[in-house]
Order: sequence, then C-alpha cells, then structure tokens
Amino acid sequence: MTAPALTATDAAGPASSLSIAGQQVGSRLLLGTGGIPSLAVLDEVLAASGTALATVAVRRIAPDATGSILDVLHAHDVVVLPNTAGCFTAVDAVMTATLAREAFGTDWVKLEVIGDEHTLLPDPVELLDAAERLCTDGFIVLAYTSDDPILARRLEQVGCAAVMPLGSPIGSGLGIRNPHNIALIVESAGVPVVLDAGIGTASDAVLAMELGCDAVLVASAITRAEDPVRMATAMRLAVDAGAAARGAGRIPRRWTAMPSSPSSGMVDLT
Amino acid sequence: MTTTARDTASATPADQTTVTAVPGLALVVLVNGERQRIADGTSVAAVVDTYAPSRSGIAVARNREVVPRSRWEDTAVAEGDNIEIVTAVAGG
Repeated sequence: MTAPALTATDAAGPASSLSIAGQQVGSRLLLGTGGIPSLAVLDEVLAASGTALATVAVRRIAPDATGSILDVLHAHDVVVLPNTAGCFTAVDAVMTATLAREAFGTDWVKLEVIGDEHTLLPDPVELLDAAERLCTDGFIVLAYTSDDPILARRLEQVGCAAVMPLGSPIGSGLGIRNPHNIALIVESAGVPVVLDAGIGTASDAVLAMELGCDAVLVASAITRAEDPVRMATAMRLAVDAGAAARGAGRIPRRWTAMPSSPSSGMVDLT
Repeated sequence: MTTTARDTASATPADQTTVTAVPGLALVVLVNGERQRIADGTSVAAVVDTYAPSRSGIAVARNREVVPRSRWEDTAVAEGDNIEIVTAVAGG
C-alpha cells in the first residue's frame, strides 16, 4: 500500500504559519541580502528561496548606484526588514532605525548592536538599551542576540517581537555551536525565535528548526555560496524538512540498540 | 584671488568663514561626509534631488536629526550643516 503524499507543510500542520507581531510571514526562511553578487542574482535567489521577509542595510546613497534593491524585493512581494548593522552603540542603532522607518515606511527593524569588528558579536548592554528605546518608540524589534537564554528573555521582556540568537559569528558558517542554549531559548520564549547567523549549509538550517526555532535567517550561506540560487533552494527545503521533523517528534536517543524487528517468532536454525 | 567652489570646499571647518565671500554659493555644508558649497536658502529637498535618482526609499538626517519627508521642501540647509542621505543596500 502506498502512503499518501505528504508535503512538509502538511506534516507541520497549522503551526507552519509564522506570525511575528501579529503579522503572518509567508515563509520560515528569512533572507539576509548581504553579500549578494548582483541584483540579478538576488532576483533568482528570492524566487528559489520562497522567502517573504528580507533584510537590507541603511547606508549613504552611492552617486553611481544603479537599480534599487527595494524594487527587486517589492517585485517579489518580499517585506523589507531594515537592519542596524554596523552600529556599536544604542544611540547609533536608534538613529539608524529611525532613518529606516522614514526611508522605507516600516516600523520593523532587525536590531544589531555589535561589540567589535573582529567577532561581530552583539554587545548585550547596548543591545538591551537600544531594544528598550525602540520598543518604547513603537518599533517592531527583531533582536539579533547572542545565544544567551537570559539575554533573550530580557529582550522579550522589554518588548521585542522576536529574538534572533546566533548559531555562531556572522559569516563564519560554523553552524550552531551551542544547540543546548538555542533549545533553552526556544523552551522559554514567548515570541518567535529566529536562528540568525552562522548557518553554513542546509543541515545547519535543519538543526535550527529541529531545535524548535520558528524560522531561520540565512545570508552568507546563500549569497556567498558557489551557486547561490541552488543553495537558496536547499535552504528552503532544509527549513521545511526541519520544521516537519520537529512536528513529527523524533525518537529519544538511547545508549544502546533497540531492535526494530520482532524478537518473537524467530526461526529455530539449530 | 579667484577661489573655485571645489578649492574652498576642501577647506577645514575652521576656514568656513572665508568662503562666504563667494557669490551665489554662500554655504559650506557636509553631504554624506563630503564638503559641498551650496546656495543660501537651498532646501533639503533640493539637496536630495542632487544626490538621489528618486525620492523613494530615501531618508535624510540633518545634524543627527531625521528630517521627515514632509519637511524636506520647507527645511533650509544652514551653514555648517551635516547632511546624511541614506537608502537601502544589500546587507544583513
């Protein structure tokens, strides 16, 4: 007898719909556009990834800029999520978010406040300060954070709409270095958890979803892959697979084997 | 001595008072980190139109204060202003 066809979406059930700050987000794969080789490649990557939400950075307008990344995102009905990348202080991050709100007409911001250029790790003190200020000012804050469960909780308490713990440093491709902490964050979070940073390949995205994350943000792993469009497809499938596996409920790990064939009814071969 | 806008535009901030003698381009301001000479009474909107191919997806800060789009036309740039014009780029 043939099993009925089951898509990842079916397997995950109603929970397959991601909602952030009460707004439905059409895909659990968020795209970071940093590192994309060209707008033409971005166009193909957007189609292959199926993403519904993509980040952009706020920078001085270049006099020789050709084409607008915003036009490409709008053509795919992808919601623009401005970030505060490059900010080292709460003051700078709030300023950048305020500029983004004015430029793009959105209250949403992916809040990044980093501690140094070497690791690009979040500065927790400035991050929490910025998050509190922005939430008070009515922003929908998705906070890029370390994999510290306590900091994630504090970010939620000041009103962040989502927490985005890193798997490992931005652009490192080192995957999820502390799955236990990610699981702890998921366990206690009352807002969506988006694994952000460190994804190297599809299996990392699968693991994030298996750990219970609500979504995964992938930038470099796609944009800097040898073939970004194929990797975008891989990541879309990975997020679906991970979500389906999480929903299906994995078997517990055991120290010893457990036979899958019956132990009774053995043929006597003596 | 004839002073071109570009020559004077490279002056240090302490020299800014010397450029007001140039007719027509009375103000020295910073736009995206570059010193520029512009006419007295120039609006933020006019500066934006010089730098940006379109007004959509753009934000302006003047001396670290966001100038709302609705105020671009009636906000005049002043001597020594630090103007930042930003847009979206790939990132994050």
